[in-house]
Amino acid sequence: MNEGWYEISLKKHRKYGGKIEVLPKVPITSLKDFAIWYTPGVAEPSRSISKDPDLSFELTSRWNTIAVVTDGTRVLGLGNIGPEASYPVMEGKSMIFKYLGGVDAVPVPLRVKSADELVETVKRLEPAFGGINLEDIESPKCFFVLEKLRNEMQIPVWHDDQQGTATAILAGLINALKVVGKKINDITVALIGAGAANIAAARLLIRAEVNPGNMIMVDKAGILHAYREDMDKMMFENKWKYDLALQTNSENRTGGIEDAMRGVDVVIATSTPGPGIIKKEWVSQMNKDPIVFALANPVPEIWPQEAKEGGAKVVATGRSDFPNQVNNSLVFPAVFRGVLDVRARTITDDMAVAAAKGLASYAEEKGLSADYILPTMEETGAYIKTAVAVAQKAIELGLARIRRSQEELEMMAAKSITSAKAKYEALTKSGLIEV
Amino acid sequence: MPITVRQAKREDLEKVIELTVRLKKLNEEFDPLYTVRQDIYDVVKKYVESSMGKENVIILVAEEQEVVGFIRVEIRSRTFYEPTMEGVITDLYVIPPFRRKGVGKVLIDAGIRELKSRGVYLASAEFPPMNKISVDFYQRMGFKPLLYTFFKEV
Repeated sequence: MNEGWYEISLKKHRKYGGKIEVLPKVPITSLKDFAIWYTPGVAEPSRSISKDPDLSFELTSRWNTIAVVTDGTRVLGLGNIGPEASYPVMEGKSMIFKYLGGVDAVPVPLRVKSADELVETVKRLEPAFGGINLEDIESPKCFFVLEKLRNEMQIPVWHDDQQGTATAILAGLINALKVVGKKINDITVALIGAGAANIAAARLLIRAEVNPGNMIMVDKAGILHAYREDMDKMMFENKWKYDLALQTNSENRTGGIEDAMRGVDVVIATSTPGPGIIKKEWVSQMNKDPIVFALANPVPEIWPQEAKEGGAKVVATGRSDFPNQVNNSLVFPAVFRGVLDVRARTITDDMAVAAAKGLASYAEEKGLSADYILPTMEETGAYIKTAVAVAQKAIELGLARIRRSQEELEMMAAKSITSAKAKYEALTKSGLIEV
Repeated sequence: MPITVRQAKREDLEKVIELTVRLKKLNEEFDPLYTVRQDIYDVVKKYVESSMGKENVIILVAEEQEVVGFIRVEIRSRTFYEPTMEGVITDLYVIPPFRRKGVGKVLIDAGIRELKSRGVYLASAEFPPMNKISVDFYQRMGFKPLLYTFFKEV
């Protein structure tokens, strides 16, 4: 990354004083209208909601508003920099939520000391929001927090570093397998890295019918297997990783990254910035038509060119300057668009799988190739399709507060997304947002 | 495949030593005062070997083709209270792939049967209080806390 970006970014943040603002969306022709939107008129919506709290989804902006929550313990690659320092990141996320998904998102960095305190605080935010997007929380704390909040809240909770990335990975994998003509329930997969993204990806892959025994996971200490020395320690420190160590690798393979990759169909790496974490020669030792997802940022575990030289058929990275960007920005705006449009109570793993399938099918309709397995952020249609897939799954699973037809869902999603962009463009054009 | 429980034999010695070392190392998680000694393997070897010959110690192993877990119970007399004898579970370990399959319960049940056959009607278990998994497990098995041991470095 060019040093210049950092200077420009700092200057622009200072100039605009942050990135988002709140604007009214109702007609205010004169100040008399306040009698409708505020006292005394507003008492009536309040009375109605007090009788039926779910009416807050109809009479207030709650239905379209989410919190982007962090404790600031693992921000980007910067580590534990604290809640205030995480604000620019949360605000950036909020901006993308609005721009790509039409979702009103509010940055909420929290000063909390423990995982339990974080859980308690987020639970208390429930009346204000239609959903919670967790962000940049250190692993394995993030697994505990997500699990707990998902179980205990009546609005969708999503941890983007886990689920957003995992959903994008699954979508890319579904299409990469179509390109090479392999079936998801037959494949063997090496997962390099056992942080939030890959643990979530492993779980989602199992949900999407990859045979867990056919997956081999590698962390800093090597291949995970049920007999590894540190299993007892892991059981207490990271039970999610421990569970995967028990479920995966049915052949009890041992060793490092090279051993994990030998003979497998797919490698998914979300580990340490490369290059050189994955070697070209190791790609050559994979099964016929290898699929390589090297997703570390800013530098992938192996350069795409090198992976191709090693024989890779499909290569994906986390970067926009190569083909096939596995990007959670393709996922989170659409997932929340979908759940908000049906006032869903939660986001289950099956809904994440539905999102991945929706996203994948959009690219498939456009025409798959080794260099096009995922849509790009410019393709608004991908967001609409994914949002509808999530919403329909929520309805099917009985987790939606309201039912809508596919046509209605498509219209709603399209309207939210296009109107957010149109309003923004109007402000820019008129000079109210200085470019 | 069914899991069987039997008395530990001489040929199980190596496996019981290995599992005991794992168990002691597991405790390292909980407190620096549980840091295992440099010569942990040797002391565990002596501990297990001498246990095998002792009248008041029961060692049972759970087996499914290979040994997958074991229990060590030590019968101690209670000086002041009734009942006057207690069987203390000093060590219980099941290897990870065989956890959550009821092996621990099978081992405890077999240990308790053995205690009863020897006229001992009180069972107890010793483990670090920070081991939440053990706390939950013994509570499920019907045990309750009856003794605190507090430590302080002086």
